[in-house]
Amino acid sequence: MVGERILVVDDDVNVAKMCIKALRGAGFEAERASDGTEAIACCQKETFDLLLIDLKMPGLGGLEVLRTIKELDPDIAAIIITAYGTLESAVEAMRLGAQEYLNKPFDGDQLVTAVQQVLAKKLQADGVVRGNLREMSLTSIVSINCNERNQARLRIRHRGTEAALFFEDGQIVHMVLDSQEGEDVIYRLLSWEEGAFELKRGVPPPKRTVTADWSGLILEGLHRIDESAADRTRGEAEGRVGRPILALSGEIFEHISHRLDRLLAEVEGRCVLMADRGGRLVHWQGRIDKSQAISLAALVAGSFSATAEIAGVLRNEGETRQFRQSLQESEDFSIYSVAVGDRLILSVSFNNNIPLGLVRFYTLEAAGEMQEVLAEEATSPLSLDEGLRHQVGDALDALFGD
Amino acid sequence: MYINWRLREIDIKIVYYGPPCSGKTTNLEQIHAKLAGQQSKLISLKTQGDRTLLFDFLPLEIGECKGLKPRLNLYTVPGQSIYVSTRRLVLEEVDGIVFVADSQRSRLQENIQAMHEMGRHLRSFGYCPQAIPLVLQFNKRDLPDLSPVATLQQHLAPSNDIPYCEAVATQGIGITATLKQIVNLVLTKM
Ligand SMILES: Nc1nc2c(ncn2[C@@H]2O[C@H](COP(=O)(O)OP(=O)(O)O)[C@@H](O)[C@H]2O)c(=O)[nH]1
Ligand SMILES: [Mg+2]
Repeated sequence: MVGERILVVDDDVNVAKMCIKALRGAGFEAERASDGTEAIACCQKETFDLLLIDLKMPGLGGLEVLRTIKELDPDIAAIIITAYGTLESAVEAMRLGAQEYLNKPFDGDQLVTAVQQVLAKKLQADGVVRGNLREMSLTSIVSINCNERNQARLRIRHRGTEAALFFEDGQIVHMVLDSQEGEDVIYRLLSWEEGAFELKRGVPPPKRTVTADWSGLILEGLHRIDESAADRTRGEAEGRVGRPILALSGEIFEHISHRLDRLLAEVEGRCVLMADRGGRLVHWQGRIDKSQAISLAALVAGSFSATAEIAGVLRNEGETRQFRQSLQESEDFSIYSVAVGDRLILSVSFNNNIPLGLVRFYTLEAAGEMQEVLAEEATSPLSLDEGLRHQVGDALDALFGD
Repeated sequence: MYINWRLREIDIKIVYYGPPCSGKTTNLEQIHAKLAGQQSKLISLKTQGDRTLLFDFLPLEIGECKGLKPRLNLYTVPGQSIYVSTRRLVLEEVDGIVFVADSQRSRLQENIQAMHEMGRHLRSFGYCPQAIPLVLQFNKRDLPDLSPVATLQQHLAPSNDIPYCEAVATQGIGITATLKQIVNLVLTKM
């Protein structure tokens, strides 16, 4: 998880303080030992992920301390600090299992970078995978590990709580969350839609608290979640579809059509088009036929939503940012897209000899005007002919020759 | 849904959702094949190196009905990608969903997981999943060791009134019936 433990061993108080401050600032847990004997005592009592150690210390020298600690804990990573580039001892330290060295003087950023690099390599070598439940769901992680019959530990952090799951022989064998243990933990975990996780292979379970089959547990868990979500939304469901129907009057449509035409001229574009976020073509102008415009609308909206999705993945806690623009470039032309209100996208395809700044200016201006016009339009009440449904059914029959 | 009163077009988006390899793409390929003569093109938007596909897309014009020209936009979600977000984005502005389930007994859990994930995505757009027209397609009925229809219904249908179709997508069986059901439902619920 975030917060790997680092032991800083340096007799120089100032250097040690600087190191600890920088490491804590980067989210690590850092502790200090002021000499070799103390460092060895620390490692006998607790486990650390990384040892940061000065080679030149009074009393037990760094090399000797490193050798002893490596015997205690062969898995520990190590970075050594050398005072005046005494290369021989640095090389000797790496032979003993240190991964990296830092020449004094170094600053906090250099230290943090080195530590992160060393730990990342160690994780890879240790068979550790990290990620977030936003990108890989708990059910996927569980099925993969059970199907591959891995022995592994999964730790998940979610809003200040931490859970651990242990896998062995194709089953979940132990689960713990705060003070709760056993099968029921899964019901809470499955409701987590985000949370940093760390999966480490080869960790044996400390105990066994789960006997139920994993797939049964997951199914029951998902079932409970779906039920409670359904309860929450049942009341409002009656007769409502996802989004209100977007209906454009003839007048508004004419307006959009003219504005697209003007934009096309302003940017000397290949084509301009308006689509909704779901990929429906609203209208287009330019040198493409209708079926091309339909495909283009679907593709442009797809990549525009993908851009918005990227923003979602990169989003910081408590901060929601949506990309409002996207740019796709090819060798000779590019496509620039902007949002028009919440539901529509305006896209311009233009030759690369036209400056992007110009395209951006005119496109944003057009998008702004269109948004104003659309905002004035009250959603027109919909009265579709009752018989439409039947006729569409008949038309489909005819189309497929049924 | 989008209606253009000037051109008298009505535009409907239908998404084929389901677990990996349940037969979503095959559904669209079969529809496309039956349209011989129409100009519709089946588009697959893939990322480099194939497999992680963004979506399949098939636009379908149905000619004039009651003075309107309905256009269906059929999409499939990528099944293969373990990344959740690529499946989510295709559901934007969806009007109706065909959930393509793999009927093989061994796939029951994957179906349930996919259904669950779909509900989560719809809610993330602020949609109420029960309000979106849904048809279940129990596909691969030609294979041995299948879950009975009642079992699939019990586990996958969010409520009792959800229509379903049995299908063998590779042989084109149940494909157009599914499509007609969902279009009918979308136009009823409007
Ligand atoms: N036996 C059988 N195989 C099918 C059926 N439908 C699809 N498949 C096969 O299942 C595999 C996955 O189909 P595909 O449409 O690509 O799945 P998708 O991932 O849902 O798009 C392909 O090899 C299809 O030929 C069916 O009804 N019966
Ligand atoms: Mg597919």
